[in-house]
Amino acid sequence: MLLRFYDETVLVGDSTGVKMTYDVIEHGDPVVVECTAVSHGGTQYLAITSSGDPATFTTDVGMVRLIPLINLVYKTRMEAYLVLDEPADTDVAFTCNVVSAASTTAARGIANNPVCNPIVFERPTRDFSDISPPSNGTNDTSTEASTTVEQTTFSATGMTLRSTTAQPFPFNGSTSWYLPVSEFEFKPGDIYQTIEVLHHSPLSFATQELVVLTCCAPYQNNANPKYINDSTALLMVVDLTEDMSINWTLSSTDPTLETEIPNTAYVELAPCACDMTAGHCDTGCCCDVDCTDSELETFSACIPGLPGGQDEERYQYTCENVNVYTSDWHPLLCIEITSTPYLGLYYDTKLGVRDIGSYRDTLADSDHDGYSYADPGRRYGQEVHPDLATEGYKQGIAVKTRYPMTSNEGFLSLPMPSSNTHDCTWMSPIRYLVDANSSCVQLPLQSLCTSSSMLSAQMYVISTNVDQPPCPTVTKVISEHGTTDAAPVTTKYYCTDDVTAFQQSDLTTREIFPRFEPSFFPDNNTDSSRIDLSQLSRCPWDDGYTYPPAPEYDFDSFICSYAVLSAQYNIRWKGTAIVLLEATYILGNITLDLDPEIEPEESPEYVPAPPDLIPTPTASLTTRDVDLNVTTPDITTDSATTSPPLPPSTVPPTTQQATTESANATETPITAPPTTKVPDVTTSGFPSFTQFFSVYYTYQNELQDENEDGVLEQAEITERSGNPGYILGKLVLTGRGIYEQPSIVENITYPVEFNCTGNSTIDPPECNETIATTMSPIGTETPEGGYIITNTSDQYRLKLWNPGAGSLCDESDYMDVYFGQDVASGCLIRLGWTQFQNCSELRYLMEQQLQQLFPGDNIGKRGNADVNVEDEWATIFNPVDNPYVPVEPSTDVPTAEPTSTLPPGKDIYYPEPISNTDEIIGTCYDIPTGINIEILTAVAGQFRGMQQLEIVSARVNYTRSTMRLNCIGPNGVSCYGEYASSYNFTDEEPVQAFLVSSTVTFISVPAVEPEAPASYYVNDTNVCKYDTCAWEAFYPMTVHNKGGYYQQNLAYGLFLILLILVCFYISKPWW
Amino acid sequence: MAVFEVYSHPVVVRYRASICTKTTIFMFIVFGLTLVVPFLVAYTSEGFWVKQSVYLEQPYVSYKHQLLMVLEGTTATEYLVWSTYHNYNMLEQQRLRIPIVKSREEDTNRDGKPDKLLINIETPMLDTEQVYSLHLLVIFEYQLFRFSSLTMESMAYIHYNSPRPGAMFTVDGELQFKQNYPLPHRGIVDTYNYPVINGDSIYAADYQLTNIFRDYMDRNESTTFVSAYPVWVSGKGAGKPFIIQATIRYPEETILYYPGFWQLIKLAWIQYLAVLLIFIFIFGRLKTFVFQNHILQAAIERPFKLRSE
Repeated sequence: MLLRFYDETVLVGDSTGVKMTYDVIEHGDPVVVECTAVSHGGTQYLAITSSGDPATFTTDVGMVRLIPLINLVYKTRMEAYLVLDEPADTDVAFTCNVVSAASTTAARGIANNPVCNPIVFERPTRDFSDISPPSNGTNDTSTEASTTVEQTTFSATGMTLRSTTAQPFPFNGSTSWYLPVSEFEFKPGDIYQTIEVLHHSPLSFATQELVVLTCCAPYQNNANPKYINDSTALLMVVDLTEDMSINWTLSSTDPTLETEIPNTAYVELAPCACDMTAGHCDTGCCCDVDCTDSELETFSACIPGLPGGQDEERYQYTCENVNVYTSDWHPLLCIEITSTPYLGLYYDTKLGVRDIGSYRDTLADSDHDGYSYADPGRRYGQEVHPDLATEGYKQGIAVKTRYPMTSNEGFLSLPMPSSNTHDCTWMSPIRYLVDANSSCVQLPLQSLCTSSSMLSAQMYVISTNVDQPPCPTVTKVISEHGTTDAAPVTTKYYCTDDVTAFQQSDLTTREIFPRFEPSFFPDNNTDSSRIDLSQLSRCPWDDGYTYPPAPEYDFDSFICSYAVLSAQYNIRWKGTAIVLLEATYILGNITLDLDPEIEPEESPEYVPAPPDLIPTPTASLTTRDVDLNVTTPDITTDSATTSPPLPPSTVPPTTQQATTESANATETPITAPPTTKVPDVTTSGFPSFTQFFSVYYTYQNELQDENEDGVLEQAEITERSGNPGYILGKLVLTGRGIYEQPSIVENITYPVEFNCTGNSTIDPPECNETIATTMSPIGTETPEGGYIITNTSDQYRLKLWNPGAGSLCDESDYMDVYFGQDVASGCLIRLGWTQFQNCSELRYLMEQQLQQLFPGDNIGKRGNADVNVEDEWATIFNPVDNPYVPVEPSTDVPTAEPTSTLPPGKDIYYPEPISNTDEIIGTCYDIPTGINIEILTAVAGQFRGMQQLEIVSARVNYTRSTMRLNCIGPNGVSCYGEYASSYNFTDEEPVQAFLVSSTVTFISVPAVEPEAPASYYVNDTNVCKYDTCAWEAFYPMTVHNKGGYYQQNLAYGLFLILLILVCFYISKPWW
Repeated sequence: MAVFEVYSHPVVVRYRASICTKTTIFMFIVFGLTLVVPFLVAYTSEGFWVKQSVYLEQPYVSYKHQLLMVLEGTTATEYLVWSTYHNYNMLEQQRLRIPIVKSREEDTNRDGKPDKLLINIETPMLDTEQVYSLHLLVIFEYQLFRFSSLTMESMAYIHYNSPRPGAMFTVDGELQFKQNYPLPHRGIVDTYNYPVINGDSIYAADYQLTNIFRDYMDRNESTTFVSAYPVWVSGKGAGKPFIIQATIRYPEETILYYPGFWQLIKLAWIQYLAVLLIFIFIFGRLKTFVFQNHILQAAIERPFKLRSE
C-alpha cells in the first residue's frame, strides 16, 4: 500500500490534537505509519521524543465464496451458493460464467486464478492443488470428437485469458453447461445468492468433463470498491450417462415385429441387457451383436451388465419368516439365502397377431363356446319366424301396419301386461291367429290424458272409412304379410257415462254384507257389472266416418273425457290374409288426479287455481268444503280465453274461493300462507282404473246365407270344441234336444220368470201356500216325434255359479263348463229367521235356482258334435236319474189347486213327503244346496297321435243338506226368531251365510269294457310287487330294463345264452 | 419217442388218529377257524348285513279335491278363507269367500299314474280388499305299491308373503315324499291314512294351521311341497279376482326300506362265501403241510405201497 501524508503545523496554544490528511496512492499490503512532530523553537516537541504510536493502514477487502467448492455432478442440473463474508452494506453485483477445462491441471489453474473482466486480479485464494483428479478417464478426451473440439477451444480461450484481458464475459459456449441467470445483485443485507447451472439436453452420449464456475464483481457494475474484482470459482466434476430412452427410429428392423421371448428355463433371457435397440448398435453396449468392431473400439467403457430378474416369493420359506402360522417343521427345513442367480419363473409368450387372416385362424383354434355379452345389434323389434320370407300371414307372425306418410312398417299392438305385473306395455305386437286379452291397471294421473297415451282413441286402429276431417292419414293394417295392401278397418265407438266397471270401486265388505239384510238370488241373471255393448250407445259423433277426438282434461271437473276404457279387435281372416278388422271401443269420462305441473296449453277457458292461494276474508272459510277441488272461479272465464294462465300474484284474491282447510284458516291470520298445497289435498285420491283389451280372430266364412231381407250374409259359424275328440279346456257342448212336438218347439220360453219374485225369500203369502201340491211330479215320458236339432244356445248349456263380488249369489252370474277341468264354485245366500219359516218354499226356491244351471238334456259326445244328428249327443241324467225331459209350463198345470200364483216347476218334481220334522222352525231338511255334475269321459282312440277324448254321458245330482241357523255365539240372536226384538237384542233380523255350491267332476271310464283280470293281478297297479313279478324274471332282457336300449339288451342276452349253450355243447358236462 | 402226460388224477392219502390226540384237536381247531375267521373278516369289513336298501317308484297320487285356503290382507282382521270342509266354512262364515276352483290331473307319459296336478283358484275380491299373503293346503291320497303297500293322506302346503298386494300367484313345484324311517319291505302301511284336516270337527282348533302342521310333522311318512319358483304378480284390475295357479308334480321317489330276511341272508352269504373260499384254500394247504411233514402224529393210509417199504 502506498500512502501520501500531508504535513501539518500546530500553532502555540491552539489545540491539543492534530488532524492528519492522506491519499491512497496504491492498494497493497498493510503499511505501518508513524508520525513524528518537530517544534520550531522550544523544546516541548522534539523529533527524538515526540514520536507517536505506529498505526497500521490496511485496505478493507471483501471476501466472496462459492459453496461448495468442488461438486461431483451426475445430473443435468446443479445448484451452488454465492456467499459473501458479511452482509452487503451497499449494492454489490457479481457476474458468473462457466468454462470447461481440458484437464485437471487446467481446471485447477482456472480455479486458483479466477479471471475477472477486465482486470486480471490475482489474489491469494485457496489452493485447488489438493483436489484429486476425477476418476476413470476424465482425461481421456480421445473418446469423443466433441471433447477434442472443446479442448482446443478452451486452449485458445485460456491463451486469450492469459495473454490479454480484453476478452469480455461471458465467453461464448465452449461447454454444454450454461447459466440461466448469470448476473447476481446483492442488495444491502443480502449475504448469499443461489446459482443454478443447467446442461443442454438431450444427452446423446455419456459425458465426463471438468467445468469451472467462476464469479467476480467487475468494477463496471460496482461502486463499492470492497468487492471489486473479487472473484471465486467452483469446480464441477461432471459424470453424466447418456439418456437411456429407446430411439426406435435408429432401429433397422420392422418396428412392428415382436421379439419372441424364449423360455428362460432353457435359454438365457437377457444375454445382453443393454441391447435396447434391435438392429442398432447401442452406445457403450459391448455385448451388442449389432456393433461393429470399429464401433466397439470407440466405446470408452462397457455398460456393466444388468442383473435382471426378480426375487421369487421365497419369504415364507426362508428362515427369516417369523410368521406364527408356519409349519412346525419350518425351522428345520427353512431356506437360508445368501444370494441367488434365480431369474424367476417365466411363461411362454405368444406372438401378437398382425393380420385379420391370422386372427381368424387363431380364433378358430380357440375352444371358446361363442357365448359373450356382445351386443347382438337390435335397436328395433325385429321379428323372428320361419315363415317370414313367404308372403301372407302364418300363425304367430306379428300383424303389420303401415304408416302412409313415411311408408314405415310397424306392428299392430294393444297394451299387454309385461312380465310380472299388470302394468302394461304397448310394445308387444299382436300375432296372427293368436287371441289375446288383457287388463291394464292405470293410476289416475293427469299426464295420461294426452293425445298420445293409452287413453287416446287416436292411438288405436282407426277406420279406413274416415273422411272427417278430409284426407286423413290413418295407419293402415296390412292385410297380407309381405305386401302393402291395407285391410279394411271398421270402428265403433261407444260412449258410456257409467265407468264403475272400469274404476276400482270403494265397496267394502261391510257394505256388501249387511248384517240384517237377507240376500238370495238375483232377479235376472244378467250381471250389471259386466260390460254389455248392447246397453251402450254409439258416441254422438261416431258415424263411422269421423276421426275420433283426443282425450281432453277438464281442469274444472278433473275429468278426462273420451278416454279409451276398452278396445277390442275382431280380426276376420281367411287363409293367410286379414279380411277385415272390426274395432270396438268404449270411451268414457275418467276422473284423473290433477298434476300441478301441467297447465292447460291452448285456449284455456278458465284460470286454474294457483296452488298456493291466500284465502281472503270473503272466502267461505267457515265451512269445510268437500268440493274443494272445484277451485276455479267462473269470473275469469271471459278474460282468460286468449291469455295464458295468470301467475298467482296477478290473480285477484277476491276471485278465489276457499282452497285450504277451513279449520286451519279460521284459526290463523288470513295473511298467513296455507301450509298445504291445494292439488295434494283436493284432487288426489281418485280411484285407479282398469283398461280392458282383447284381440280375437274370426274366420271369414265363404258360405253365405240369405237373411230375412233376402240379403246375403255370412253364414253363422259354430265353434267346435275339438275334431273329433274334445280338446282340454274347450267348451263342453250341451243343449236341449228339440223334438217334433209342436207345442214344445214353438213355445220355447226359458227361463220362466218366477212370478212370486223368485229372487227374494220374502214372497207374497200366496206363494207360500201350496208349494207341495203344485210341485207334483211331472211326467217323465220320452218326447214324442223325431229328433230335430239340439239347441246349444247359451240358455240351454250346463252352467256353474260364477261368484261375483263378495261371492254373494245375488251378485253372481253363470259360467260355462269346460272340458277336462274339475271345478268347484258356488256362492253365498244370506238367510234369516223369516226365510226358515217355510221349508217347502225354501226347498222349492233353491231347486228353482239350481235347475237353471242345467237347462239342457244333451251333451255332445265329441268336440265336433253336429246339432242335427241325434247320435252325436249323449244324455244328461237329472237328479232323479232320469233323462231330462223338458216340460214347458202350461197354464193349466196344476189345475187342482186354487189360484196358485206359483208357476209350476219346469223340471220333474220328485215326490217330497212333507215330514213332521219340517215343523221344527229354523231347521229345514233335504234342501238342495248344490248341484254336482258328473261327466264320464273315455279315450276313444287316437287320431294323428293325439288321444281323442269323448264324453260318454253326464249326470246332474243335488247335494241335499239340512239347513238351520247356527245357534251359537252372536249368531244365537237369530235363533230367538221373532222374539229377538222382545229380548231387546235387535230390532232387525240378523242373517247368516249359507253356501250354494256347484261342481263338475270329470270321470275317466274305459272306452272298451276291460276283460276281468286274473285274481293274481287284481290290485295290480303296474308295479312289480316285491321285484318278483313274472315279467321281470329276466329283467335285463326285457323292456322294463331302462339301462340301455331294449333291442341291444335283448341281443346281448341272446348272445349270452348262445355262449352258454356252446360251452355246454363243447364241455359236455353231463357226459 | 417223446412221452406226454395224457391223464392225471389225485390220489387220496388218509391220515387217521384217535379222538383224544393233538392231531384231532388240531383238526377241530382248524375246522373252526376255517368257518369263523371268514365270518369275522366279512363282518368286520362293514356292510355285512344290508340293513336298509332303496328302490325307485313313482307314487300313485290322487288329488282328493280337498283344499283349505286362507288369504290375508293388511290388517289382522282382514282375511278370507275357503275350504272344502263345510264345518270350517261355517266357522269362518264372516270371512267366507267362494272361489272358482278348477283342477285337472295330467298323466303326461300315459303310464296310468297321474304326473301332475294343475289347479287354478279364482277368488272374487272387492276392489277394497287386497291380498298380501296366502296359505293353501291341498290334500292328496298318496300310494306306494312296490314293496310295502303304503296308503296315506298327505298334504301340500303352498304359501307366500309379499309386501305388494297381489293379483295373481303362480307356483310350480314338486310333491316330495319324506320319511323319517325306512318302510318295511312288505305288508300294508296305512298308519297315516287318516285325514290331515279333520273335516268333521266343528272346533276351530282343528283347523288352525299350527295344529294341523304339528300333527302332520309327527308322521313318519309325509309329503312336502317344494317349489323354488313362486311368482307373485301385483296390480289387480277393477273387479278382477285374485288368482292362484299352482302346478304340483308327482316325481318318482327314492324310497328307503328295510330288506326282508331272505334278502339279508342272501347278500350276507355272498360275502361270506367269497371270503370262506380263500380260507378253505389257506387252511387246506396248512393241513397238507402239517400232515405231509408229519408234524402231528397220524396213521397214514396210502392207497399204494411205497417202494422202500
